[in-house]
Amino acid sequence: MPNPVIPSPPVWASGPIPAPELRAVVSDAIALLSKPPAFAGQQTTTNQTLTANTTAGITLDTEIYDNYDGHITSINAANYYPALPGWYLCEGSVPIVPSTSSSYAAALIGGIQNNGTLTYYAGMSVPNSSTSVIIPAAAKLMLAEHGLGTLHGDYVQLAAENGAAVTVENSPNAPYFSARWICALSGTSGLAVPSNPAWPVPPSYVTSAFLNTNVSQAIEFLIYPPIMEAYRNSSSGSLASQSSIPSAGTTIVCDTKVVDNYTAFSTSTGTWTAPAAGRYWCYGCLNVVTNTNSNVIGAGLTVTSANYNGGTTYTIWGGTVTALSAASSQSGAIVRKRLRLNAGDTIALAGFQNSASSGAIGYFGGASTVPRLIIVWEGS
Amino acid sequence: MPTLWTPPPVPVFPAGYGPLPADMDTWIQNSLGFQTQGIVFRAERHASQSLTGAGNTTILWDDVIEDPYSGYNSGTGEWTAPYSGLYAVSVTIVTASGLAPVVGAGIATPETIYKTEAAGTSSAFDGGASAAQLVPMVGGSDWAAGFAFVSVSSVTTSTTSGLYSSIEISFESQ
Repeated sequence: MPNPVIPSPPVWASGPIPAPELRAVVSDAIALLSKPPAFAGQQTTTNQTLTANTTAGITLDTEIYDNYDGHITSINAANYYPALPGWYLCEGSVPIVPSTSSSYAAALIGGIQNNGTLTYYAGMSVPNSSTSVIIPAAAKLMLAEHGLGTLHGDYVQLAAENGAAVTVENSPNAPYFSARWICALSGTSGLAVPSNPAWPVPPSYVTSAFLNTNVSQAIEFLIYPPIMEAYRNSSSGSLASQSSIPSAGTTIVCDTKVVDNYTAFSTSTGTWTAPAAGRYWCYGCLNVVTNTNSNVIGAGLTVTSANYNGGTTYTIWGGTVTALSAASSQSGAIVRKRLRLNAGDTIALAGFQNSASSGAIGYFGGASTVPRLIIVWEGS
Repeated sequence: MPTLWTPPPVPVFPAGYGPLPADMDTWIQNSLGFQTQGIVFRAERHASQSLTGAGNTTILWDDVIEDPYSGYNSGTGEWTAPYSGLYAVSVTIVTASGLAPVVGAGIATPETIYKTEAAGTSSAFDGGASAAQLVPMVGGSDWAAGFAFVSVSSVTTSTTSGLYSSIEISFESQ
């Protein structure tokens, strides 16, 4: 399959529109939007061993889906090379076999862009279990500035780290990684969600304004929908211990944006305001510094919307997980939901923790192992 | 009720042909309509459901939030894809407090059953896990379901607002 191209819809004026022009605009757009680059793979035939305290890319020997052949095992079985420039939503998880060591298991998403440095971004980090498989998971928006074949080496991968040497399980569960194109690198923001009306029937006629609104701007919106990722760069402040999971959680203010193409996120309040109605994929990750008194942590999405809880602000939690209880441990919990929102509704990252001594816990600061909020428009 | 668009072929726009409004509706309105709206299924579990200890339990979703293509079977917990394609499936499992199981969330299809998150929990708080996969599905026959794994018996799903278990399915690609 030839690589898709990012369509560039024109602004139409009055006059005839040649069929090739419509083909180039609409057909290219449908070709991309109906089959955007996507990959899903697993590790099912090898049992990769993780070296203690060392982050390692997870090799994927089984391809579930790879519509543009971006997973090239002859180069590196851990990597997915995006076929097209843009933002990719990457998700993954790594099952760790039961381990008697009192240690941690962590999942990360890594990547390299424009011949830069391979960087890993943390998701969950939780204690191993001596009796059950533990499966940490992670998600991240990754930027590919160059598509496959441009020899710039952009790639994304799933990675894992464990506090002791352990083996990855590949049956019945298996490491799983997916990456999918969700948004162009640049475009026009502030456009309306396409309404897709029926075409005029004579004696009405098609105007250039109709074409510009319902073809050009519709395509522009769909290839450049609202997306946002922000993280907490500052290590200042702390998260207080709470004795019960609150209906409205403590907001974790993410102070640094990775991407916010509709300028919808406030780094001062940590609140994202929906710029358009629709279904949004939402992900929150609470990475914090737990300690010997720590019991559990949990991540949540605080929502203010008429669609939820009668319009009263509340937090949708992903539940809690056991925290690492050793000095200066890096614990991480996640939540992910698809939420239907109206324009103007808000979302913020919420955090919960409980410690035996009722003590507060802190943040790491920095771009890699930090609280993170990701929101992606998926449909009307 | 939203318009139920169909997955479009890439339109051709033949030269030398005067298209009728219906042609443009097929080539453009339906094509962009489907890409705008997609296919979605969202549901939650509000009532308590008992979970099998040291095993997998298919969750029966008792609050269907949206299912415009009517793919959900409330008797089996399975959602059948209306059209062939790649679907993004997310499942969140939240268990009621009281025990301290390892909690896992997973996705079952006719061919596979995988957990993609599992972690230890505390007896004092509702515990949770979430799974996510891209699942190729054949329209009209393939289904996806969400399941919970718990390491001990007598665990149930949470009944607290804000801590419900949930499933979300979204069409991603043809």
